[in-house]
Amino acid sequence: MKSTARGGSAVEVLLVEDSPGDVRLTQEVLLEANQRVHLHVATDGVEAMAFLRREGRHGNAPQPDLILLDLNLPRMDGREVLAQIKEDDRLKTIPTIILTTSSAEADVTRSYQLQANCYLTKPVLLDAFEGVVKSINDFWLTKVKLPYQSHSG
Amino acid sequence: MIPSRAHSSGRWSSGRACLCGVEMNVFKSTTSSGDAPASASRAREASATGGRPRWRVSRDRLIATLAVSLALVAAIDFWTSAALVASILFTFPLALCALQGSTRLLWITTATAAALTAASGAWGHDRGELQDSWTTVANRGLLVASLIVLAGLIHFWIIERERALLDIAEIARQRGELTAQNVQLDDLVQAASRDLGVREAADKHLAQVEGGYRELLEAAPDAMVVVNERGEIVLLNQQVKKQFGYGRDELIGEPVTMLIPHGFAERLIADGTRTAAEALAQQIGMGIELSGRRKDGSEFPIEIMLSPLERGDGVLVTAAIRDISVRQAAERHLAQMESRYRGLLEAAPDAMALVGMTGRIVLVNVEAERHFGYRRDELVGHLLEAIIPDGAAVLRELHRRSVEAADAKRDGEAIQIGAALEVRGLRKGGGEFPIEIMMSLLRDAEEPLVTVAIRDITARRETEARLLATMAELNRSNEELGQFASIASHDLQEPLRMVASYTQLLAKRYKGKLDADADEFIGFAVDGANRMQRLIQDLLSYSRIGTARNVLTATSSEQALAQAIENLQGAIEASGARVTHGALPDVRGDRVQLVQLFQNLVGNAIKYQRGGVPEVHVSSARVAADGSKWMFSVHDNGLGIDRKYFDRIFGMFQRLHKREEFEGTGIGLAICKKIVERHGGNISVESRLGEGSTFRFGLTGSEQAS
Repeated sequence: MKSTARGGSAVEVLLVEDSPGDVRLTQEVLLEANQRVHLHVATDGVEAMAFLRREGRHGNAPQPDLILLDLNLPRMDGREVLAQIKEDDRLKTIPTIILTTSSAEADVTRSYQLQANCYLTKPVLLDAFEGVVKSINDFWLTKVKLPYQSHSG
Repeated sequence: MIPSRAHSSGRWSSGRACLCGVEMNVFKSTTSSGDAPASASRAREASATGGRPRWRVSRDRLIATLAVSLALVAAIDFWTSAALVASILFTFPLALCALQGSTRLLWITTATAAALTAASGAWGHDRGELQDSWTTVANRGLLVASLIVLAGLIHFWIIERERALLDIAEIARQRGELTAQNVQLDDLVQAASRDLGVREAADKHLAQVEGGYRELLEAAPDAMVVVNERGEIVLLNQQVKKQFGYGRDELIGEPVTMLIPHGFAERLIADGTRTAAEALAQQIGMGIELSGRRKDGSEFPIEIMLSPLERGDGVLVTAAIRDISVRQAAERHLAQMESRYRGLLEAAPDAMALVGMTGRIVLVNVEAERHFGYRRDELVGHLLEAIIPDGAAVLRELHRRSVEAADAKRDGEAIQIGAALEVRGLRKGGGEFPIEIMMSLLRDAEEPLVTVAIRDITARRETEARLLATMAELNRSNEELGQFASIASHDLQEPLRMVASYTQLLAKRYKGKLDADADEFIGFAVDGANRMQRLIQDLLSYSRIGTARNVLTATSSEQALAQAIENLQGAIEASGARVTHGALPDVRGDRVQLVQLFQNLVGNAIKYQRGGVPEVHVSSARVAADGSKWMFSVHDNGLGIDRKYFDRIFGMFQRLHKREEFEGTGIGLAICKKIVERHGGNISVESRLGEGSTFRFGLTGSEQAS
């Protein structure tokens, strides 16, 4: 099941997640589903914005094709990051998926108000989690036609 | 004697005084000279000391005397011119003596003049001025003789004048006596007419009285009766006829008891122990309430006012008689109203005061005394501001509104202020306390009055304060609970997910690569993590029911059930369950919670089965007693529940089955109970072991709310 949209080239994904356990688990499951994924990790909101704006040590960072964003983060939380992405003309076209443990109604509503592209809850069971990650890959990284982006920036 | 009479009777003094002015002046001068007896010398003194009367009396005679004296001197002069000087010299002293009215002085002067005349002849002879001594002697004799004649004339005149003065005094004295006699005679005549009671005189008198007072009486608005000392009616006006039904002729001369059977006569006239005047002195001006009797015998309440009319022939009493039946009825009505007001006032649980428009307190009840610490008499007549400082402002506003209403001719409108107007009350001694007042205008009263209902709200204020504090505390604890829920939803699940996920990853990658024990251990770890996950989820849903601030809105219970069935699709397909329902109404509810409610109940119905095909039916019915309420039923053909567990199953973590038999956290029905209660209803169960169960809960229809 190769990506037709990207024509075999690498897929840049930014995962914003503070829990090392979750980072590793997502990495395991996502790479199992799609070997072409380049997974970049930011462990808090400030670092995520620095990566996206290519600031500091992220000067050569590629523009990601997809952002997986947790809501509860140190320093700058996911809601703030989402708001800044969607206010930035260069960044707002990047599909941003909320991937979080919270199933609170308020979080869901707020995220969509801030124009999140979709909201996913991390399932507890591994099988279910694998299912979620696979469907992200199938939909966002395979089927969806995304705007053209120059990876080298 | 005369002056004293004049002073004792004013009636006489003025009249006579103008008739005889001269005499009066004489009397006055006599009186002013002291207490000298009435005699000739006194009269002489009077004439000597008096002013104008002496001149008036003596002038004519003095001129005559001077004329005679001049004529004599002229005649003598014919003979000799030397006598002229002497005659002129002596005429004036003689005239002076005449004026003085003293005969003794007159003769001394004459003697002196004669002596001088005789002596002057010798003096003139010595000087040789007189040629003929005979002539001179004859002249001197003539001169002296004429002097003596003149003095005699003057003497006679003085005597005559004295007599005239005495006569005048005598006449005055006699006149005084006559006056005294006249007065006595008058008294006698009056006494006679009174004592004899001459019918004719009385009639004449009455006619005079009638003539004088008739107009006055007729002008009076009341019935007026004039009664004599014997209690007989002597005069009356038209009003009497109107009020009592008698004609004038039927009453004149009749006893007043015909009109006023009791009281009038007893009080005044027939009271033997007192004189009429004394009796009157006690009664005059007072409104005496008695009863009057009409010609037809009927009686009616009257008020009489008495006034005395002092006549020469006795005391007449004028009685003004007023029919007070209307007023008495009004007074009775007023008294009734007042007692009713008072009754109303005292029956009120609140402090009440009745005040005038100026704020002056007219009436207070016992509660008002108790609240403010004043006695009734310390409040009545004082201003409302003394106990309610803001009362005046409220009263003014009330007055303004009443004027407004009157201007707009909204007479029927109730004028009142407040219902819950909160102001300060002042206790005796200065203590303040919060009160609630309500004022309303009593317009039917003669003077507009305002009822003031006063409620002490100290206790309520305290309760309110406590309630507010409790509410704040409750809000704080609710917020904390909400925070706890959100913390639990994320922070508690994160580590749990790590445990569950990595044990599963272990199981997936290393199952069969380690030994059988490792596989079993990994299995327990995964199962424990899963159950913990469900417990946390259920606890979270339970806590969210209470903390969610969603308001209840019109919600279709049918759609909520459809959503629940959809959520349960997996279980329904797995068990082959048949879920049916009747028509379900719109209710006031929280959609998410209603879905959960149906989901838990239908889910339980499918789950608790022993092999058979689950059949679940959901229905609803209006509650007879209250059309807005709906009773829902969820009926199943499952295991059924023992009666003794009916209450227990709705509690937290209550399970009736072993875990091996049925999965579950024991929170599902607790959640159901909480949801129904939050919607204002109750949930209950009817069941028999082995015969299925019916869960019933009430919800409010949305018809009236939406």
